[in-house]
Amino acid sequence: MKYAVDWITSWPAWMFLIAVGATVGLPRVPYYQEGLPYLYELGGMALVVWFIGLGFLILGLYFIVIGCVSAGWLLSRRLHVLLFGGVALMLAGGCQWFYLMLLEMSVRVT
Amino acid sequence: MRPGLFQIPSGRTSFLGDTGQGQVQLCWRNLVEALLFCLTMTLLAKWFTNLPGWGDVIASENGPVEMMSAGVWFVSMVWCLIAGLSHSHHRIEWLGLTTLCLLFGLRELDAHVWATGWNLDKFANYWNPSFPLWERLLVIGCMMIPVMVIGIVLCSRIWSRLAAAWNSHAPWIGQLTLGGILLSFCVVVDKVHGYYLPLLGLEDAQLFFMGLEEFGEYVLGIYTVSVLWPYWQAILPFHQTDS
Repeated sequence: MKYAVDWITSWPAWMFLIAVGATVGLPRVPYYQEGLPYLYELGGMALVVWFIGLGFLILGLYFIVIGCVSAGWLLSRRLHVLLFGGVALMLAGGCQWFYLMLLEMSVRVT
Repeated sequence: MRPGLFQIPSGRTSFLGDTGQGQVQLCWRNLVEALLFCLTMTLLAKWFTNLPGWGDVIASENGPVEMMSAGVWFVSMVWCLIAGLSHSHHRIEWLGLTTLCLLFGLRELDAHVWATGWNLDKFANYWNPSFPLWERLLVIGCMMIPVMVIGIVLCSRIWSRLAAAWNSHAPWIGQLTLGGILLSFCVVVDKVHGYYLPLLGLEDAQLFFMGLEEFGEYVLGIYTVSVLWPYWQAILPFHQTDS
């Protein structure tokens, strides 16, 4: 159990999650198209927002995992960390919503 | 709120807030770990994506290695931002790192091409009435101006603190230096394959150098994370003990 907790609190575990997210989870965004300069901004911004959302997602998951597995924490502290995690996940959701809005906008402009 | 929840324990100060782990000279270990991790992830990306060649995985624009690299920078940006908000004594430093990670991430996504542009035609779009005004303002107001202002202000404010830490031989100087060397390596390789190889008649080597550059940038990102990780652990609230 200790090794599992050590692993889950180490950077390779979370960088692995990022690699999976960026490799498998990332939809192909039409942001890099010659001849459509204005699309660069909208599609590119969508991609940036998606990545920032990934950052909040990873952070939120980390808070929640740490809040659950850390031993010897007071309940109030545990709840505090879980609350942080929830806020980070909500921000990730907001980023995903904004990403979809920008993506739709860029497709509409196309 | 309990005292200390958002603060580093006093008595130990350094550039980013300090931690016992961060004071150890871990430069080469960080670099080797980052290299091994990136090699593993590249192998897995090849296997996951079923792309036909290694060039498609490593060297191609918008390829898996570039996307993983961008992901690392943007996630680092979010973590640095939260660390900066949590740690008032070193807010400028953390926000400076936030900006740096954001700029590296934007550069990885070629924002210097699609946002700032290198041709006047693109700038003409910003006053082209055929595009909706609010969409043009969105691009300028939400991305370009904030990034420029934050970058200029933070760089000017962080410089004096960086110089002072350098002069006092802060323990993280070795890690910073190695990161700077790695960054220089990536920049040089980028420029070599873009401009000098064709001049030397070595076009065949371009793919190799492009892959080397993308992989080097990924290693740089992971190296940065491995260096910052103990600082994040010390600063973000969940690693303070209750004892």
